[in-house]
Amino acid sequence: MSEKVIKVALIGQPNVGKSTIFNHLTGLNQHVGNWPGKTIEQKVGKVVFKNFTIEICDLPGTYSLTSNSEEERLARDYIIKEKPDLVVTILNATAIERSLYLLSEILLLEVPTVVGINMVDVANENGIEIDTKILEKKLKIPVVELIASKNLGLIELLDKITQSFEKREKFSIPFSAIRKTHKKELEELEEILKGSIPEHYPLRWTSVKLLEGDKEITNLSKMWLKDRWIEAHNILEKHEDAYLDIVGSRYEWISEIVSTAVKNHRPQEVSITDKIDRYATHPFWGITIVLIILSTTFFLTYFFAMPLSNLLSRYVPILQAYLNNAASDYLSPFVRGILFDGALGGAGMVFAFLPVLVIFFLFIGILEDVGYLARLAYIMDNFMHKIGLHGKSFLPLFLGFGCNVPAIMGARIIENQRAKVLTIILAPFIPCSARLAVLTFLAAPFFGKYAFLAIIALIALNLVVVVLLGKLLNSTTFKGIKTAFVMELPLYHKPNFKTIFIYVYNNVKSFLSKAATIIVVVSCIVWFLSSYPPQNIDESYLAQFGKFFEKTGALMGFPDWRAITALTTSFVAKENTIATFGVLLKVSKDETLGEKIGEIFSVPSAFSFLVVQMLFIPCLATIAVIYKEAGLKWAFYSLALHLTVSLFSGIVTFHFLRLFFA
Amino acid sequence: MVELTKLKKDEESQIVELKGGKDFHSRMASLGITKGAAIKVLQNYGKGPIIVIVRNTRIALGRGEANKILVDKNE
Repeated sequence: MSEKVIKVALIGQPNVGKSTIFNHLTGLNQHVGNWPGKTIEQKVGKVVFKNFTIEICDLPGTYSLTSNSEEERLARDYIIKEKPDLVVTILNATAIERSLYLLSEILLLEVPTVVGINMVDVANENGIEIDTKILEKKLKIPVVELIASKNLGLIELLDKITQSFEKREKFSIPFSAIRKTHKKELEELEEILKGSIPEHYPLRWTSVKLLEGDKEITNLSKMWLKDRWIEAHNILEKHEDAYLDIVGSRYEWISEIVSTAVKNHRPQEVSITDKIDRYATHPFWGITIVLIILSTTFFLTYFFAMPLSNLLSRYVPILQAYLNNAASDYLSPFVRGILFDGALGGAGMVFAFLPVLVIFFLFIGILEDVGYLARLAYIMDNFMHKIGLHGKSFLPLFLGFGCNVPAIMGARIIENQRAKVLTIILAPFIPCSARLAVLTFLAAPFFGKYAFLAIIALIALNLVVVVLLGKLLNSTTFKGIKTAFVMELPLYHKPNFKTIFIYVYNNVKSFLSKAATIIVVVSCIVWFLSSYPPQNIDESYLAQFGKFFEKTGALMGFPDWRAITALTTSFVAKENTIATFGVLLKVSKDETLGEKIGEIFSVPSAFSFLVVQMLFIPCLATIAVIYKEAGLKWAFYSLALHLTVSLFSGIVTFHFLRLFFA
Repeated sequence: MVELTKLKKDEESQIVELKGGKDFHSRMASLGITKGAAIKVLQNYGKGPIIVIVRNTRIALGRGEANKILVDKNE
């Protein structure tokens, strides 16, 4: 018996619980990659049900299927070009009208669809009752009630998927795509397009999109129609307002359905969400809550994750020494060096990084799952406006404190391309946990009992630089960004730990696969550069590089070339600064690395070194992600900007402080 | 007919017109903000984004966007 494969696309608006459904259905049996040629994540998973294998592709959460954002284009392209056997559309029971709007876009694509209505329990609590039977009859497609957070209704959903797949019913669009006033024009467009458009583009949908003024379809149609485009163009020009009749017709259909299938018993009641929001979005209490949450995150990171990280990194040298010793009879020094000092050293660094990342993603995961993250963006909107960004940019920048890599990836939530790039450029100036770790490590030997004060001062200075830089870039390179701010504030709900767990797991895994390989490879290269020519470390390629720039370092008060070399290796990963000092300073048994580093720096030069370290070019992984998300031009822009800003700040800091510490 | 930002907290009204281009219209439509829809302001502190509820969805809107939404002012 051969198993039948059903290809399913899962789609729904943001905050509908789509990932919870996907996670419940596929568990860890999912593959997270990127859409071909794109930087948006693609999740694919499998479920075996009865004698079917159901392959589910989790499409990006979108409110509609226009060509205005990359997510929407991806979602509709997948349905048009990959031709899934079935689309599963998840509706939000608490916001059924808006959900049906997305469904109307999908139905126009003329693919077989099964509907799942999620959060039925929350809707009931709010006095909203949905009659699934009536809804099914009106929509003419199967409808299943779901409470994904409690794992209810999913078996029924799978049942409907398989039944629907086996029946292969003939499909028809259950509503009128446009009001009567412009029906004629729609039909004329269809007449013109017929025969010219590729087979997989549904005729009605394409014509509707043309009337809506969809940019992508307009361009494609010009190409398809060639000389005949002028005919279409004439119609479109004369009926610029037709799109109002498209939207209008859809919402008329929706109202008609809702009036019979949905009952709202308590429309005037103030919900729990509104009660919480009186505080969470209040100008004063809102900020207070944000501050409490941020400080809790830092507290947990510093008192739980960092010590664990330090513990892990302490065992790496022991392991390296042990392996080096054990393998000394079998392997040449070169192989041992590259394996244990290079690769294992790099891998150790990656592992030391994990506890911090886990805590961080756990926090973001919880905040997002309960629905708070959107409020955070709302509260920070005023402040972010001052640096030319809006509230949505706060989240990625905030993520930057953990690691700049997810911060840059997080900038995807910003629709405006320029605002997105500005966020990506600013994110690496946020002191990530690795830079903060270097800072805490060096502050003690540098400043003794004033270490804590110095740390606070340096972080504050760093943030001032971010704000100033934001203002500066916003009035120069990024002049005239329109900061449109439109965001749904979802209902609050209890966290679902499975969803949060999988969120953390996927993010950590994607860090491991993306960043870890680069870190390990470049660690090997740096090991080579610091070990060859092999006579003496002071003569190595890396040392020669440091010596070449010794004069530049002197401007910032750096004691000698070793500081430059240590800074340079931080390009691989920020923690390398310390590791490089460790190698270059040849620490003997009766003193610690910290003491030795402390000896060679004066107070102004130490401060200047830390300023440069904090603002220096981001690590390789960060640059790699900038390149992937924003392109080569911006990756170079970022490098140049970091070099300029860090060196300039270093020089200013050193000469300023020298006035006080002669 | 007034801009949405003119409404105070807890005031209810109906959307009469949307200004702006097609992109803005389709974006608003996907969130349920269309001509004729009932709208209620949940928060408006005179500056910064406002929060409204439309078709049972809470939406934060920048003032720029909110000014493009015209509502019925029932005296």
